[in-house]
Amino acid sequence: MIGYSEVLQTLGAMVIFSFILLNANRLVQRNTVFQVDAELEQEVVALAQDIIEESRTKEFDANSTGDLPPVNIPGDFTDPNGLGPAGTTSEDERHEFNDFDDFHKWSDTITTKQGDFDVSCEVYYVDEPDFSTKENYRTTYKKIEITITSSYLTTNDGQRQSYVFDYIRNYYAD
Amino acid sequence: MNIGIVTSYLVAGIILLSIIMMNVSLSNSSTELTLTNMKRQHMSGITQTITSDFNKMGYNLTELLDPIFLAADSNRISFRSNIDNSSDGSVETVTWTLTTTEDSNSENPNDYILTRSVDGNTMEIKQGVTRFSLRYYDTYGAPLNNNMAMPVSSSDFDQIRQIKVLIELQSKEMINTNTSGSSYYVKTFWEKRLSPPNLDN
Repeated sequence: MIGYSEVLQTLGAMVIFSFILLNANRLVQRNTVFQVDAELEQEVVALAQDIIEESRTKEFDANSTGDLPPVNIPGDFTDPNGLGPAGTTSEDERHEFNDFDDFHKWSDTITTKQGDFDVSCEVYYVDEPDFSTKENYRTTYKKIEITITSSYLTTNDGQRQSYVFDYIRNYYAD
Repeated sequence: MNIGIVTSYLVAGIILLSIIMMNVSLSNSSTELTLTNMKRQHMSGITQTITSDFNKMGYNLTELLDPIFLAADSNRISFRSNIDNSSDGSVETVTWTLTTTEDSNSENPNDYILTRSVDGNTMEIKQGVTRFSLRYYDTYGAPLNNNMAMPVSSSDFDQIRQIKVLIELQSKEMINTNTSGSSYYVKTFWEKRLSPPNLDN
């Protein structure tokens, strides 16, 4: 083994070093993933705020878009099963929405500098005291739930991570 | 010559080089992470100020201001607001402009000074702003390409409903990547379509 012991020692060193290198690479990769995730999540929040702010500019209900408020509140508001655009072609697109619940079942892919984000919305009635369950009756509270996903934002098992934001609107707070 | 010793020296040399490269790589990654976090902090400060200012455009204690806008261009916006909510109802003029003045304290040739001016009192923002882009929409939720022509004519100021803001910040220092031989500046973006409540009339 004279002359080869040094080779064996250096081979041993290579094996140890390989493990260190693998860990270092994993660290660099994790840093990069964190950076990308944080950048995209920043945009996810901006998109959700964008939709919430826009929805707040609309009337509370299709039946409160006139000059006078409905006679019966909340009895004259839209039926819980009828939330969403009125079904006419004039309310199909986002820029044609005229009341808060027109965002119900609306979905789109929004392109930004950080890539494409898939956005979908759901609007439903909620009620005091918890404001969390979907009510099958009319109330003066509506909640918009915005779900945003991106193909670059995934869970550990490779599934798309869903970011859900919600906002509760009160008819009397308008 | 002992071939074993020569071989071991060769292998040791390769390992040594690899260790150096690994250190460089880790150092770059760490620098990039730190710079990105710094830029994101800077971005957060700028966007909070913009959001606060823009949401107050047209505001006064007892009335809606008219006109609200004084200028609306792709990198300059000027509007009226009682920005400090003063009880005497005095109205201030707020102006955001991306100047063409380079930041002299930065190694990055692409960043310019962003200014926020309130009644002529100008605050310079030197945080690596490389882009401050504004678009205006006369309809809520309009497709992004359907923005109003810029600069928006003063006769169309009262048509503005939404403003899309895109900001790009870059690091002042360059990151060198010896492995690929290229260098770059760390970037961060923020874009949002703002719907100031007082434009909804």
